[in-house]
Amino acid sequence: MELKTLEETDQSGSESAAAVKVIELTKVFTGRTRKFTRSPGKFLRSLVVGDPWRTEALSTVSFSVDHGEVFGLLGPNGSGKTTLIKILSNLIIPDSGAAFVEGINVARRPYAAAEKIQTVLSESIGLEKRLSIKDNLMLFASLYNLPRAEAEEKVARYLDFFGLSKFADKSSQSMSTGMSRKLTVCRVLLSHASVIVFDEPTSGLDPVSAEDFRRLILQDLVKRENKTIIMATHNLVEATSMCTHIALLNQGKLLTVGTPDEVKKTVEDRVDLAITLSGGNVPLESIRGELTMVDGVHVVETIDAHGTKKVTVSGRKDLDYMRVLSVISAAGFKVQSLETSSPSLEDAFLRLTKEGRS
Amino acid sequence: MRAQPIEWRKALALMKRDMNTWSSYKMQMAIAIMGAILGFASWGFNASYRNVNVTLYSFQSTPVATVSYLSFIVTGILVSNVVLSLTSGLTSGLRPWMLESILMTGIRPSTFVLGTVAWSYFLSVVFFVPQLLIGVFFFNVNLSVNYLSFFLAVLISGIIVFGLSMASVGMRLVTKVTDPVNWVLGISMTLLSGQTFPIQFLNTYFPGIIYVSWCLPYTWIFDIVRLSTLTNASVLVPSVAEAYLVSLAFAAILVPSGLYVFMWGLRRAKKQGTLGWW
Repeated sequence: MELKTLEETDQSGSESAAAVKVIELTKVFTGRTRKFTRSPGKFLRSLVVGDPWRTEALSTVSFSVDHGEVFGLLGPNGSGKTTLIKILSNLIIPDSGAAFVEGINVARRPYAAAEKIQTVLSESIGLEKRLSIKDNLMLFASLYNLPRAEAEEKVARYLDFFGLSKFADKSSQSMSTGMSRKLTVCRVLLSHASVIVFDEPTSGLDPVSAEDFRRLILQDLVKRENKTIIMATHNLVEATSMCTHIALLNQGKLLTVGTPDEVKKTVEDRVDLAITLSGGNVPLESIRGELTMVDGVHVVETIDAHGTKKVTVSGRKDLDYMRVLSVISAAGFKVQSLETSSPSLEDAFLRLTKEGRS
Repeated sequence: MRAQPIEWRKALALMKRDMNTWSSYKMQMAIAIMGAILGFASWGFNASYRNVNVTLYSFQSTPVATVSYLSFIVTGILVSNVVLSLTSGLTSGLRPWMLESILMTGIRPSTFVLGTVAWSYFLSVVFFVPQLLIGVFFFNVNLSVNYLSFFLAVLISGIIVFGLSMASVGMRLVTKVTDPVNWVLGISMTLLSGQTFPIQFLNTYFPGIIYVSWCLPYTWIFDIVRLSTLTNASVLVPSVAEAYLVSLAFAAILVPSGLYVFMWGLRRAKKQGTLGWW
């Protein structure tokens, strides 16, 4: 899709229903690396010319985020989450496609878009280390064009709300990771942005701080401040518990978009059987091959140690259960218990990303 | 390229940030003050030792006035200290860990550049005063100032430096550590623009190179500052006005050109995904 067409879409206002909409975003990074080799000729060539590399960070990614949603960008490292976030924040220009925030084309109208979206990046907290906490927030209040009185009031309010008031005059570099995260939220809340993006919001936080932070996003930002949240994460528990919708990315490609339940359904045809056994005329490992041959079975794992005998069979939902049990009983094993488990988001994540790789 | 209005409050906020950061490093602050005074004094002693006169020439190689070498070099060093604030401003002001956060706020490019170099520029102007007093009262520099001309010289010089700053920041967003714009201008300032010796002296070694010197903005900055501070030259005099008009033309070319280079650098860094890299 050409940018000109997208510009027309933006001007017509037809994208304004969504808080965020990305259309066929594609981004390829290219560059040259320099390698040290023992061959002087090759080394000199590498030094002067370099060896080219190419990474497809995003490939025709499209989705939309409604107002008031907590939208998760889920994917392994290098899947394109941060590139996507930086395109939304106008820190990276896509090769093709377009991103809209509140109907505004980010690349075409960056200043207007900046008033609607603010991002907390994972790699830097984006604060001036030598300034106090209050001075940092006042700096950003000025950059967000807040009148002095409003800035003073908002800074005091948010510092109080996040329990940072008593540290207001302390240097920002003296803060813990958890406090720095809170401070970055204070920073973006000073703006009038309706969409807030977090890149790995809880990475580096201890479990208690991480839980506090999740509560902060859900209760304070979404419910109280009516913000739309986009968060990149590879924490599946976090994505399941917080997100209303999830986009699963892998190697720059969008694998699926939906609610956590909908994403799980993409692997619902799969079942895991955990069978606890006793007795047996042969080593448990010896029936593994035969079980793998059963129609519908994909993976068989066995545990036979310290008196515990377990077989885990993963496969299609319509696998031949009777044949599995007959193979087990034929080897003299007795079934003590049998549990089936439905797929989790983690299963969906692993399966879809593995399929993406293959 | 659309017009880029400067948001003064934002620029002042960035300047205040740099002021607070600068003053938080006490030792750096003390050394910077002492370095500015002692470094300047060494040039003063150097010039006093030589004790010769220098003739100022116009673009048409017409003699304009004869001044002491001491006066010539003191003004040269004072002006170059102000101009060099561009480099120090960029080094300290472009913080990679804050660059993306600040640009995300939607700050205009011209505001960002002005705010980034403003504190350094202001500081150099502040240092200018004690250095000037040392020059006048300790080394007995003879000043003959035309205040209107001097004011205009400072204004035009500031605009030229601002234009060059934008080009320099744009290059630095791409090259990261240093930038060729600053390097070329820094070298040309000391070598070809008449910072510490009259550019006519270059003809002794490289005949005709003086024409290259007159193509450099810093040559004109030195020229109009010296005219206004050492010869009491009025801008109402046609020959003096001519120098001011050429300087103004440089300013008029360098501001949009600088903005263009900045936007090019910003766009290229965004295309490469290296905006926050250093």
